[in-house]
Amino acid sequence: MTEHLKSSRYIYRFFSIVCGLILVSDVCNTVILGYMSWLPLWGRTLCDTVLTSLFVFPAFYYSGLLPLIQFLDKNKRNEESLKENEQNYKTLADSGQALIWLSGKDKLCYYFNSVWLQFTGRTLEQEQGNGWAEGVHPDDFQRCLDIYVQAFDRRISFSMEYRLRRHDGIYRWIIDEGCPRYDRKGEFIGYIGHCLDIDESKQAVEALRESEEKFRELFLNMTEGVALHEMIYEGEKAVDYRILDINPAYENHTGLSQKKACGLLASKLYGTGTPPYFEEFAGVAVNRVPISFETYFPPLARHFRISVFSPKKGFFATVFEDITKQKQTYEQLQRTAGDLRRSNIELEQFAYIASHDLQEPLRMISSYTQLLEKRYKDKLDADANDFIGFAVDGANRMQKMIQSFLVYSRTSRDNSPLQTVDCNEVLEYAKMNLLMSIQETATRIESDPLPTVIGHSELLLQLFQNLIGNAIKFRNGRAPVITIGVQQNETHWIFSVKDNGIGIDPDYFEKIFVLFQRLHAVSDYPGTGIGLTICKNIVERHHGTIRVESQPGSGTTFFFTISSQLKA
Amino acid sequence: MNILPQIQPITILLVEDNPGDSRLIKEVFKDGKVANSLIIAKDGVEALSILREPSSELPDLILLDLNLPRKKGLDVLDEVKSDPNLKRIPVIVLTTSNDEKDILKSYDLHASAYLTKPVDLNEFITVIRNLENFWLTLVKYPPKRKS
Repeated sequence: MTEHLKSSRYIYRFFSIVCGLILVSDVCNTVILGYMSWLPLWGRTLCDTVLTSLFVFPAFYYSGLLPLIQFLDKNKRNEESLKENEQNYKTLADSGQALIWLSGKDKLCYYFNSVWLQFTGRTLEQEQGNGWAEGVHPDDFQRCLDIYVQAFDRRISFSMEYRLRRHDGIYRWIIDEGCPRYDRKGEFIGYIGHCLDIDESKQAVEALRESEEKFRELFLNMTEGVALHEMIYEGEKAVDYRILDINPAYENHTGLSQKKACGLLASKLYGTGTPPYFEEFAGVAVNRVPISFETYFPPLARHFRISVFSPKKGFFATVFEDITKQKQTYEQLQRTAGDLRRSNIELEQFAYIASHDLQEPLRMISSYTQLLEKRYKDKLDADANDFIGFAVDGANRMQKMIQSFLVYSRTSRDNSPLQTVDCNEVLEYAKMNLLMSIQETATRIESDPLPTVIGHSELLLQLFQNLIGNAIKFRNGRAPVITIGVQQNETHWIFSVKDNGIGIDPDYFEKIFVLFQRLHAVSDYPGTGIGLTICKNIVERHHGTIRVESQPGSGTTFFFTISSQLKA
Repeated sequence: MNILPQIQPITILLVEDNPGDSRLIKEVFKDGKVANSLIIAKDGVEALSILREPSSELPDLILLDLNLPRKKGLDVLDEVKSDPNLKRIPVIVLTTSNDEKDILKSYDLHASAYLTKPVDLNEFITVIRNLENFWLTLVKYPPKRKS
């Protein structure tokens, strides 16, 4: 445009000067020719021509016609080189990786290089004007437009990232950098922009950012304290370490703030002569082999589990968990378990020794009252005989109780190993042991096929024997019928022993399992009241439970469970 | 059958700390009509010193309680059986313990029999009588006197 203006200025100058000189030359001609009227016409014409020429040539010269001619000539040459340049640029633009666009002063794009067109898979005509905007991701469009317009109005460069739809319909992240263009005379003529597909690196960066964020979140929110350290060396020798970064959990655990801790030497921070765990940490920082240990840290009076690793040589990170509470709980538990174990052992010993040693004096009472009875029965009166009788009876009963208590304490102390036990065999043994009373009472025993379980065979035999024995003992004046059944759930075998005996009042369902609890007079049903206590003990040793269902007069069913999860 | 003992009563060393028991055993012997001469030692140390007393005669039989003061019954048994002069004397363990460990240990140390003291008097009398029968009819007398 400037060129154009320049040339019109030349033309104006040229014509005004030419007109002026022609006017001057005409005036001069007229004046001079007026004095030369004496000359013939041809003479005057010749003179006029000479005069005019004398004026016109300089006029031509000074009017700038020559510069005009020169300009026109130069312009023509410029145009040619410009065309050549443009071709070069286009070739360059089309052969590169960059997507290039040009916009005019009206902000509208009028040029896209072939890389752009190949990328979008559209024609130049489709892209021109605002056509290209159709390919920008809707979520990015407004933002990009704002950046472009604002930069455009201020004539400044811009750089922005947005998603552009590729020919295959996939949006790719591109970076678009635009800058204002000026002609050689400094006139603003629009913008030029070039874009690069940064989708892959963008995604990589995004993934990295996400990962970074994730780890940052972890670092900030994890309950374990994390601290990054740098080993301090004097020459080759490690002498201390410096805290570089800590997370909030570290602050919580130690009570040391990030402000206070970061940048400080460990020996200073913890107020210990040698920095804490220095040897261990120095080893990790050098060898880069991670270690983990539990420790009590006196300056904080807490227990920690510390894992140490080295992210790079000379550096190490500690991840530590405050296990003071667990440690205390564990110690408490250990103590309680120890107490319990001791108490159990003492109780068992007490039960055994007491019942064992109790027998000595009891035997004295029993033996000497019997001796009394033997030697003096008929030498004393009837009362004396009764008294001796009661004493003997009492001593005998106590003797039986002590013996059954010994049996009970033996079942508690039984530490025979768990083994595979076929319950069918156990039942057969129990029947054999009870053969006499089974035959005497014409007892009928029916049983489901019983499972093979993991347990203590001797104890299971006692369990079956006690329950069947009870069923026979508490019969209801007719031949006992005992039915043994079994079911299974996820964790246990559920056995049932059902009889048609006298039954039990529901009020006593709990009581019957208590040591020496009896529901009947000894004269009606002999026994010490320990059988079911032993059963309960045996079942519990097999991680099971025992309960009873019954109605007085209509039989009793005992249900007991044996864990099916036990291992031999 | 019981001709021999009536001619020659057996000498029994009873090692028993409880006077009630010693007396009871004495009475049981009496009730069981077992002829004997009973020497009583109240603990293991006394028993061994009686046995090792050069002037005294060796008993035909030792009845040994296990739960004794000063020296335990099993130690007495061990010493008797390790002593060449004493080892031929039959030892019968007579105790309240029916602990398997005691029983096995006693037999390991060459006890001739292991008897638990029955609570029932009649049962006790039977045991003692059987003991007499056993020893006096089936077992040959060991050489009785020290050479």
